[in-house]
Amino acid sequence: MKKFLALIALSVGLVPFTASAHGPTPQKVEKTVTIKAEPAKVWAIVKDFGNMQKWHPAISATKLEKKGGDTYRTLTLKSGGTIYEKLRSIDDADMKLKYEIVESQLPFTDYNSIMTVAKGPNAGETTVTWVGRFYRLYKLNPPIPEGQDDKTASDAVSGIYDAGLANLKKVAESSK
Amino acid sequence: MNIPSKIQLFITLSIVTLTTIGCIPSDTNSHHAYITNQGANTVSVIDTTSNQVIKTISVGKAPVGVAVSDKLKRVYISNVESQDISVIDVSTHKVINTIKIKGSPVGLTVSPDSKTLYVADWFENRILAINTTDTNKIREQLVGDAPAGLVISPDNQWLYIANRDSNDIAVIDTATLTIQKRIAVGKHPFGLALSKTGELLVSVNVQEDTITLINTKTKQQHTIGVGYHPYCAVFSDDQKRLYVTNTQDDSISIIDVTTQKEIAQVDVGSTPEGISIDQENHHAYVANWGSNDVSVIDTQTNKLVTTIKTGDKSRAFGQFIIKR
Repeated sequence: MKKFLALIALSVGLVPFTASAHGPTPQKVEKTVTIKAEPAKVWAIVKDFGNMQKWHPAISATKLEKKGGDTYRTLTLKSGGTIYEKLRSIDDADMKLKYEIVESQLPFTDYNSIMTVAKGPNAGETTVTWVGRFYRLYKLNPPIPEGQDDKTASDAVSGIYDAGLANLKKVAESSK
Repeated sequence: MNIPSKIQLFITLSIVTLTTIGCIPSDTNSHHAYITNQGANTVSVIDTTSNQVIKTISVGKAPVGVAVSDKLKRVYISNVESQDISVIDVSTHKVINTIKIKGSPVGLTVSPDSKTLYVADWFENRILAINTTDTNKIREQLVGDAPAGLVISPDNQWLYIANRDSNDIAVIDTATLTIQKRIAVGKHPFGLALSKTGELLVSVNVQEDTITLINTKTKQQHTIGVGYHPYCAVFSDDQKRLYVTNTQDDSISIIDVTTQKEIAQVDVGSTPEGISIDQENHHAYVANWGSNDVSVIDTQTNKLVTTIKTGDKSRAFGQFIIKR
């Protein structure tokens, strides 16, 4: 958690996100957690796109917004700064949430993600998988500056996922 | 039978068995698919008769593009992050040469006469023309922003380049290596496909979720909607259909070329990127970046035949199947 907040703090003031070019090598982070709660209960928390602050410890507020047929949310971070995200789809049958980052000061770009809720290894348990695909910030040939490389990007996403899934487990297991 | 002769028999049997197994991959009628694995820094070689990985070859860092030459019995692999090209001898499955590039190689294609290897250099906005017999001989030409996919006309005359960030295709005269024209297409073209006759050119427009069909003679264009964030396309052997990978939908779109309509979507692995069709068995091979495997689709039934585990983050950008 501390590491994650440090990363966010570090990233503020770096090259701002732009919708233009990115490098040719996408990165991936995939994390899973097993939760001692029914899948339906966990899915209800995960799919609630406008209330991420209820389970992610780095987020203080979520503001939901509709633009035409599209749904967006603005996440306010406890460490300062915001993340602007677009909902891609909520699939109740497969318990799958897809979204992407439109704008942020995080040290990665062109990020999209899928959260999947499934039956866990034992009865009454749930497995949550969080996968992200994104690119590093640096968009030119090497040498790659510190803080804009693949590792910085992957570490930042890993930090967000680890902290989020650990607290999602806590929230889902403790709430009624 | 005493013990030593039992051992002898066992050894003999083992050798026979091993030899038999060893024979399958070297079937001379089979084709091989070369799949780049970005995260593993390897290439998986799939025998398209057995649909098994018969060899894994270490290459440079973050391999993406593939080009093959039946004539030279060579496979070329672009390694973006180590900034080089691995040259593989298909009879020994060994890397026999590494061509250093002062840039970031992505798309590759070999000319029909196998004399030239063309390389798209993503960050330097140029293409390189490498002499395949003397790889130190390299010509270059600036094209557009972030060049990606490359295809070449069957008469060897025209090279087409998708410039991802210029939203166009550069048409290069291969004799002079100069740009003859630019064709504006949809937003962020990445993969290209060309029909056998060279008459129909296809650009896959990632951020517009479309493909553009271009008649290279009449210059007429037609845009068709496909799935979310498509990457690559390939023509079926009879040229009647197009197979397009939809990276963010985990599917492929099948397009009827005559009616210019999508006729089906087939689910594949996660985040499908490169696609090639084997002319012998009419199967489409789809490299899945997200699930680290290859989906095999029968193009006559449009059904999934099998899934082959490859390596971390499979991409296979380009025509990656070679005759043996």
